[in-house]
Amino acid sequence: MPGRGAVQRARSVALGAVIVAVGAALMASPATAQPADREPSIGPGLEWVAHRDNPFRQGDDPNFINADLAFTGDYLVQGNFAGFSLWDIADPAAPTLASAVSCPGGQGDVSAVGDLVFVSIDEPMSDDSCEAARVPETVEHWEGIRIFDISDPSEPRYVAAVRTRCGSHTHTVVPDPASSARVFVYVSSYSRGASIDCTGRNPLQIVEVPLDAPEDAAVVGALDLFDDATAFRPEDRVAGGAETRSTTGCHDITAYPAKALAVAACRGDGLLLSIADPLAPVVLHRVRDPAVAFWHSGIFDNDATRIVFQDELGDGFINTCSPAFGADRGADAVWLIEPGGLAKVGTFKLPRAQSDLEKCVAHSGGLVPVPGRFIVAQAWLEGGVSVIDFTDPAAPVELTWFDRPGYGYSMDYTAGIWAVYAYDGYLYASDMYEGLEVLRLTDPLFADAARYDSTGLNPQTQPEYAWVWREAPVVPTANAERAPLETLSVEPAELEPAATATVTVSLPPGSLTPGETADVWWMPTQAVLATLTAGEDGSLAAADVTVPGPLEPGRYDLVVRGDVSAPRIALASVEVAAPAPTPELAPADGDDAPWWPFVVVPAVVLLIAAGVVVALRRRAVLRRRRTAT
Amino acid sequence: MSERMPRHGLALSAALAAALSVTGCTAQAPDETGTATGFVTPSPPGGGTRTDDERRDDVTSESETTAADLAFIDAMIAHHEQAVELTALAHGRAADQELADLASRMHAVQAAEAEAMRSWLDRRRTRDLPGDEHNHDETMRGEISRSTLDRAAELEGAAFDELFVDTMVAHHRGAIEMAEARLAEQGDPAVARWARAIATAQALEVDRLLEIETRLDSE
Repeated sequence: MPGRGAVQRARSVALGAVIVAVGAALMASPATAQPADREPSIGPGLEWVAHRDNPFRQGDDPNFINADLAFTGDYLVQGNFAGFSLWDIADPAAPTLASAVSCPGGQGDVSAVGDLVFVSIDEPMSDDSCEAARVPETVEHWEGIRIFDISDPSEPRYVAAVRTRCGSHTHTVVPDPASSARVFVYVSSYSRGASIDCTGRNPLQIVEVPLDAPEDAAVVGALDLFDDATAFRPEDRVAGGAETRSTTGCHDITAYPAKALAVAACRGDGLLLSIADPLAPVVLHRVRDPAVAFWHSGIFDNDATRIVFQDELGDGFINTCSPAFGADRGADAVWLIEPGGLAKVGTFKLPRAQSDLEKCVAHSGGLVPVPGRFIVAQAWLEGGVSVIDFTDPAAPVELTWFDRPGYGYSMDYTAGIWAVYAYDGYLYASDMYEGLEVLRLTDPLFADAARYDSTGLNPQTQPEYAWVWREAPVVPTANAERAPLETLSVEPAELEPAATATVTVSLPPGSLTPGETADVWWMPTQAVLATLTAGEDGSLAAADVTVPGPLEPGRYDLVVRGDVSAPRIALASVEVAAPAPTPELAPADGDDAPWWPFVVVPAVVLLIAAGVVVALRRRAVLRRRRTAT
Repeated sequence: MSERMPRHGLALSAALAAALSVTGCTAQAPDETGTATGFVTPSPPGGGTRTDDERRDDVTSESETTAADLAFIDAMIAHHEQAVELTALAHGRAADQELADLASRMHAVQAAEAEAMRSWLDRRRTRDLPGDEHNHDETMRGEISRSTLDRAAELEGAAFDELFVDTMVAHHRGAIEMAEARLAEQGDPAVARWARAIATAQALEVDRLLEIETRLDSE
């Protein structure tokens, strides 16, 4: 897994990048320079730390636009209608392009699992190769899922092409609960009208990918989540409602494997699925909404009690963020997951006005992992990025934003920010034409989100976030349980009673997950003494920590716990010696035996002996007297 | 034609660097840096290198703007403009509230799409096809005549509603036919996506108009 051991690896900017930057500065032509009047508006608590141009861009040609994002270790995969970019984001403020893989075909929805990258192709291509050309719908063609191996990030290999019916508009990675050796890929697509094979209602197709043999990836299942009675039809629309699309397949699925749930956004319908058996998803609830024109995508909260759905009214071709379309149209809707079904409790629409030359509608986003809150980062195409707090679902609020002004003319097809996701405390936004934007969440509200050590993220495969560092570790009391945990080295291990003391802690290689964040806990007060970073070999380099006092005599626990390797802990005890004894009382050897027997016993013995002697003398004197008389 | 990027792995650092914009923005705007990394075009799965001989030369690829694209967009702009004009009349004239609401949404959509298409066409004409004199013929279907618009401006209430539905159904059906005609031809995939979206959206509106018509007839 690339960079897996490098969650926080040394921040260094490649010299080459600097050289090219200088070159770019010298060679930048006015035509490519960003006009000053396209300065973005940036909300509070957000710092714009990096921008990278779309390496594929060809002016305003929409066949080279960026799309969705996926993360694996220190690498970011940015899908494009012409292939994908692989960015090294070990330093989020200085992404470097590891490679730009030219392999045309929209819409470039991407996922990453370890060293594998999956790419959705939903356009008729002449064949499965990276030299393929787009062809009309009405001729024989290829479309589906491409699989690449990025173990050499500078030279990704194309390892498999899986043809699917009607291509793959989006896809979702679903792990196999029974085996880490394979994953399933849920392929979503829907009919596109005049096509030779992409008509009617398209089933959910399931591709199995053996991770050690991705070349054997194949379609292993196809499941229609609807029937003629349950799929939204034109006659199901309600008066005054939206021009809702017919359900001819799903647009996107977000899985939440830890909860065995998935949410499917299927044009005219929204579904909650059980994916306890990933090969046989079961529809738990079906929902419709007269206000929704196009069920586009959904995001769970961390407890899986709420879902935010996006409505892509107008297909991203026009500004449906405009109030002219209505406050609940082209918007987000919050739904509660209740035993009897889903219940809509609120809506949110971009509050910042966009010109009618801008394309704007609710688009792709993901959870920002803040404990106790339901916060989402979401893209609105040319409406930019919003960070929205849905904690009170009836009254969602925008916390901050990133929004460029329009181009001054209407772009072809669609434009603006396709998707934005939170990863390790930063927001990564994929702008179709402009490139990659990296934004740092600076508000203390996001401290726990920033703390999270992700080893990868496919935003449509939601991880269950657990903020382990917020709760003190539990240390076993039984010696048999403690012994195997006592791997932590502490110097010195014995202390004198004092107001405070400094000790040095360390762990040998292999003790922690490489690169993870680890806390040093002082168990008597359940206090964190230091927050450190594990080495590349899983060691903890010697670090001084100050133990709080006053230190009374006794035996106390120090614990090191890594965020990723938790609940495993490393344990050590320090001994605080008894107070230094007073000189007049202390035997030299420090023996604890009482001193008085040594005085009393001999004294008693002497007294008795003296008594005996006196008695014997007296008797002898008396006998002598008797004898004398 | 705009510059094309080298197709193969030798996209050169110079070209790449030149393409990188220096964000000459404010202090808050991050400096642009890039890398000297080039483009990679992986071989097909299975390890073999698919040569050009094996590729399907018989297939005409879709990538460039064609005359069909220009004709389609040009005609569709005029087509949308007619709808914008008719929907604008609905305000204050339409008697049925649902029809008035639909007309108002159609007005917003058609105006925004027409603007986007005008922008596309303007840039194609200046950038790609200097000297192009707009001599492509695309039959406009479901055209809304000037006399129909004039008559609509004179009507109100139920009479307006009836004229609006009849005219707009024919208009939208014409747009769908135009879009389908474009989809059967070669051209820019972006225009194909657009044509597909227009066809889908207008088909929905036709259905909605017919529902309203049925309701109005029964009332």
